[in-house]
Amino acid sequence: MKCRAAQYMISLKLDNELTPRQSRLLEEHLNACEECRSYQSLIIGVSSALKADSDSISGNGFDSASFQTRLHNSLIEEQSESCSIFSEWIAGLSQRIITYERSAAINPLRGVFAASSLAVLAGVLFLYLSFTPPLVPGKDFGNGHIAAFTTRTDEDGRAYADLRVHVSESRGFSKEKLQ
Amino acid sequence: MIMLMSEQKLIMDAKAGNLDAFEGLMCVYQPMVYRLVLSLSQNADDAEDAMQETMLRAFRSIRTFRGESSFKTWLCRIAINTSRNWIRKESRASASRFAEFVPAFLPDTSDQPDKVVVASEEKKMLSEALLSLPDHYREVVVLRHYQDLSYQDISDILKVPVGTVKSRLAQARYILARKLDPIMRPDLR
Repeated sequence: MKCRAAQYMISLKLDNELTPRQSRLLEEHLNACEECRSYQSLIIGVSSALKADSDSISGNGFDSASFQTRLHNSLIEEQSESCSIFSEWIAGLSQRIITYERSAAINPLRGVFAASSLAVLAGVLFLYLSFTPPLVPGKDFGNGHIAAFTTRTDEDGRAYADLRVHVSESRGFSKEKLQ
Repeated sequence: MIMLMSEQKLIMDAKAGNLDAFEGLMCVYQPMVYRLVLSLSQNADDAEDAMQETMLRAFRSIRTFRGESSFKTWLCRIAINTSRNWIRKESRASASRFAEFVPAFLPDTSDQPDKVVVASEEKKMLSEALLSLPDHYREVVVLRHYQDLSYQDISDILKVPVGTVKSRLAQARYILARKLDPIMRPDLR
């Protein structure tokens, strides 16, 4: 075993991560290599120093209450900043829409473009609503209709929806499948 | 289990924008974060600022926490990234930063003032040696020795394979040993 490999294994040994075979190989090397034995003592010393330094960190001198207050104020500030960023974004968007409307009044082509965009949007919305029927009693979905639809919340705050469906069996619908 | 459930509830509420829930979470993890950023920055003032920055960053991105790792791992990752940027930005390895250091890892020498000076010097050398390590080496040393985390936990936090953690740790210890050699061998003093 080379000294470089032995030094790597010494590090693993420090964390009890050596396999029995690695452990045996390392011991053999250490018995024969004075330099690596010395390195092992040094590494153990460094590890103890780090451990002692870690133990000395106890938070003494750290004013937790004052930090909490400072953090609370910063969080409030952060929250209001993000609210104002959102408001600014909305205001900016409104301003852009107004500017666009004014320019559309001057340039008819822009007006046509805006009107057709709105028409496309309305069409998409209409198609979406047509293919995703709302869950209301009496709503027919081809193979039957919704008889009752209620919502409730349990004591843990979880929301449930109770749905009673009347299915017309003549059209080949399986009740078991629904259940 | 009750503790875990209440943490889950706090996380859910914090994600929904509840400030009290977020502060409650931070209260639980404050000692861990402080310990981590202090050992990374080696300076109490920097540690407080870095901790506050860590918590603000966590607040800004709590909605993106998906629970794929534990909350502690997620927060550790933010603290490490914050400290990394902080140390790089501030880069204040001036002599004055070590002025306040108190001897930590040597036996009580209060009745021997000359040894206190030596101990203080040793603490300073240890801190300087830690700070002189490249970020990726310092982080594994701190997570292993100051947070007492397993290789697997370190691997999860740093998002590197366990083998990389092992080799980085061995290399970091090698560098530290070389730097601290003079103070670790009493016969050379």
